[in-house]
Amino acid sequence: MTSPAQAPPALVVRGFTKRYEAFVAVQDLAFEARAGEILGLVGPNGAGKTSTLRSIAGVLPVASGVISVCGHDLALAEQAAKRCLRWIPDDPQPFEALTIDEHLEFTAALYGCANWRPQADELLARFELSEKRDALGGELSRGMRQKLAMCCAWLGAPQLVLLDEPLSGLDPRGIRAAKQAILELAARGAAVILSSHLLELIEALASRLLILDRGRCVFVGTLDEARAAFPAQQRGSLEEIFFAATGGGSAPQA
Amino acid sequence: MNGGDAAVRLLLRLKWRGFWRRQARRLRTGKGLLLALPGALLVVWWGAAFLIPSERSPLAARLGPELTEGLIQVLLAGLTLVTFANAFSFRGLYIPASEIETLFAAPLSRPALVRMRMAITLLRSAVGAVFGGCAAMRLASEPLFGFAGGFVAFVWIAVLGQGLSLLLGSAENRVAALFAKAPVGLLRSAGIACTAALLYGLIVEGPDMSPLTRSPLDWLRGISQAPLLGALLAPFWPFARAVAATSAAEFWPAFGGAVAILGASLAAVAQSTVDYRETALATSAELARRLARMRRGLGAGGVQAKRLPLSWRTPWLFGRGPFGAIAFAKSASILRKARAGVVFAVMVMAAVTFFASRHVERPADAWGAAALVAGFGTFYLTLGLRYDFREELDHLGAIRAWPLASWRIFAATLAPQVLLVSLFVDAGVAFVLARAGEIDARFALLALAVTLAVSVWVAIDNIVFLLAPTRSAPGNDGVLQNAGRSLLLGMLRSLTMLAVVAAAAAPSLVAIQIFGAELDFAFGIGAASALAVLGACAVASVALGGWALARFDVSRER
Repeated sequence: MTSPAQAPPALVVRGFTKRYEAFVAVQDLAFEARAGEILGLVGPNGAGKTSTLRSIAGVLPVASGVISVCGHDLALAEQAAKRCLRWIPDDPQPFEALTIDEHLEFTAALYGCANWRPQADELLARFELSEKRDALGGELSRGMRQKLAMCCAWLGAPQLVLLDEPLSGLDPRGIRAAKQAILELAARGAAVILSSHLLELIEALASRLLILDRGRCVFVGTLDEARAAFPAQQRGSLEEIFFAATGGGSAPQA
Repeated sequence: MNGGDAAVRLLLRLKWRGFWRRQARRLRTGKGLLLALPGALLVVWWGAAFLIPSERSPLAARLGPELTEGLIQVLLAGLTLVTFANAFSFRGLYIPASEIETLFAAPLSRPALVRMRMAITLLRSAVGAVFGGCAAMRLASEPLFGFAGGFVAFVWIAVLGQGLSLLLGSAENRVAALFAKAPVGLLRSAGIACTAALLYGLIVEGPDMSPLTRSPLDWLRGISQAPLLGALLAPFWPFARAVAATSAAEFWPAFGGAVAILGASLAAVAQSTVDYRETALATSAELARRLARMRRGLGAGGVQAKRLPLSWRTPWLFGRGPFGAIAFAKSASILRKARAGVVFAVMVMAAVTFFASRHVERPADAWGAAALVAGFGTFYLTLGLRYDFREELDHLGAIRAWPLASWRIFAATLAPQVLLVSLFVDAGVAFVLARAGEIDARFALLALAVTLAVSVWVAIDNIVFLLAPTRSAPGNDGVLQNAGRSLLLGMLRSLTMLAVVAAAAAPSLVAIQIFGAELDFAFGIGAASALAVLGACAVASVALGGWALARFDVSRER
């Protein structure tokens, strides 16, 4: 398998700008995510992370700029692009009236996943949902909703997975399973964009970083490149780099 | 005062100020002002209907004071029964879901929260009581007495409802300790059945009181003389007496009594020390779900999905592809959340079909009756069995990420509802025609036309919803704007459908009226043109629906 650096880009974003009426949420954003890579998306509240992810997912219309998913321009070949990607919002809402099992059945049909049952069983076991497969979406706790969303996103062979705060509501076992699953997903060749305020998580999983601040990209590259870009943080953690990049002052001393 | 009453009063003041600030802000924008105008017209028209005096003499003048009192007592008792039935659904104390955690965790005594709730109940019921008072004015010989008596009575009933909610919440907590899951639904049904049986026994089967065999006046007289009913209605007497009073000498003692009853009820409820927390949390969550449904234009019922036996499988009616998957998800929702609604709709359709078919004396009449069933069924069932984009407002973000053209998502989401409604309507039409021996090839054409008409109506309804997705519900901001918006959108929907039906029917009418065509020929032309127009409209509405879905701005959630 080729290394992420040599792999073709699963996602290309060029000149992307998102406005909400007069407010500019994201301005002139450009980055790539390659197959097999985990791109950590970080930034303060209101930096434009969720707007960026929702636009890539096709949830928000792209008025300005180009977003290309697996070679498909989101503006010109929206459905082909969407077939390659999965999107988990920060608070996934399952269908109230569908069982967990039926969510997977539905997702398999929606994305045309053949022979999905063994993989679904394996995912349910991994996320400790096997016993709950007949539970309805409306009966699930926050953590279970998150686990179900992951099972659905992992089903089939997605080439690009967008995760917005994926560990919210998970218990320690769920967190461990989710981290492992994200790493395995990337190892299988999917590009993962991981947005989180948990900088330790990003530092542990991400191979590259994208730091947004007030809608602008202030850094994109590896952690080592970040240390080089912010000379005062030569040996700094991601937290210290984050504060240096976003102008929030220095991190509190441990 | 203790237990945080000062804080509660401050909160009430701030909420009151906040309410008016939000109303004022809505009027600052052009859109808010524009939508408020038709809303205000509606309110004025509605208020005028109550306030403008009727040319007919007041009911009290025709009935006499004694019977007027009896009638008002019966009406108030009926209203109280409805209020009590509601209290069964909302036990404990209602506090909005967004506030309940904060208020329960705050250093406020439980009676302080009850007093806060009572203050809000009084304010809200006062608005309703103004209309109740106006209605009472029209019954009374002396309008002012009627208004005052009616106003106090309506406020009192609201206070009673809150008191009963608290008592039921407390009782449920105690019963819950004995029975882990009290069958509240069963108990409520049993209570309603007992009340109905009692009323039936008293009113219909009683020897001297049947409204079916005697005049309403005699019936009212019978009620006022029946000892048991007299005892049951006694608490309402001061209110009824105040409304029906013909002089100040009659009015003031009765009104004083009514105000004293209201004050005593208020004091009793406000001093309540019931621990309502668990039931209040459940009530609050339930109401939040209902309000969310109502804000999407859905009824308050059918909130909770029910598990089906594991052997029940939701059918994949539209294939196993992505289109079928979306329809499958919708079908599951209908099966699990809407069984009561479906059963009720079937009962109504069965009743209408039966009624329509009873009046068919000649085979030719059967087509008129079938058209009646088709028209009523299409209109009523598409309103009663709404399983459409209103349910998907929380999912529209996810739906937009699905790998399907938006028109296909639009069509797949609505397909199960269209199929369900069409099946019911066509079954009704088939019953009417079969009873008259008129089932032939024309039935197939009519069934197809019904399916297309249902598709167009459901599509128009959803296009309008996607273009303007908010709906009014109790507690929503912008009452005037929502009323205005509902009026305008309702007119837009109806006019569009009217235009479609007119375009579909026009060629056959032209054939009959201008060319004097034979009936069969006109039917042939009419059927062909109607199907062509309806088909074209169905295709166009799906395309338009896809456009509306694609342009739906999910960022409005922000």
